[in-house]
Amino acid sequence: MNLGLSDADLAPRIAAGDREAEAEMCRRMGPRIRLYGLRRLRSPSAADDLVQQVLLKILEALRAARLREPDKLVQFVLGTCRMTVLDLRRSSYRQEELLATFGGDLMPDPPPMPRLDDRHLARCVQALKERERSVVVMTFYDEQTAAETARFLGISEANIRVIRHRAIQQLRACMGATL
Amino acid sequence: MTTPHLGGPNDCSNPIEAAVLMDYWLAALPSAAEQAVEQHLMTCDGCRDRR
Repeated sequence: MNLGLSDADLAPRIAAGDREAEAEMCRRMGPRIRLYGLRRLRSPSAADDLVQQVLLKILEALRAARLREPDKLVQFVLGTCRMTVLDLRRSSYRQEELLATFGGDLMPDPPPMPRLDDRHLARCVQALKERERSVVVMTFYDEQTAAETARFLGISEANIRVIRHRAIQQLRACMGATL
Repeated sequence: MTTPHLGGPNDCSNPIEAAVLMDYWLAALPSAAEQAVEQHLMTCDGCRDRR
């Protein structure tokens, strides 16, 4: 509803408790504040939040008759927009700083790796047949691919995978026997 | 450009030039010009609707 009032007419009416003037002020200023927010914050949702925050501040000030020059309502709204955006940026900067400083402490520690008995593992590897031991060492120590290991040992890649699978099963059984 | 008024769409006696409006959205205006555009957009529904 447009009451046919100028922006300057709204402030004293709101101070006098006129709820329709409040609604008109929000209807009129909301899109202007949103446009400012879109330009400054580059996000529709952030601009919507800005509208809410600024309108609340403006209404609070107008109800308390803190705006002494009603014809400066627009400047007051614009100034409040600027201050609110600055506050939002400061708050965002502080959050980033805190995250950079303490973020590492907030990350949960990785679960502890099960501790292996290195000597026993060495004995289990030694117990493998030579070809199986070669595949295991080349795969897990030298980090060679199945293709590279196959070329080096002169056997097929598929065979390497079978040998590796069996070797791992033997190692698992060997290690599990001591648990 | 800074004339405040309560206009509807296409009702602005001193509309912001399209190039200036574009520079405003691209954040390419000097600070003083940027503030003048903001002041105008805050009062002029006509120019606001041209964004």
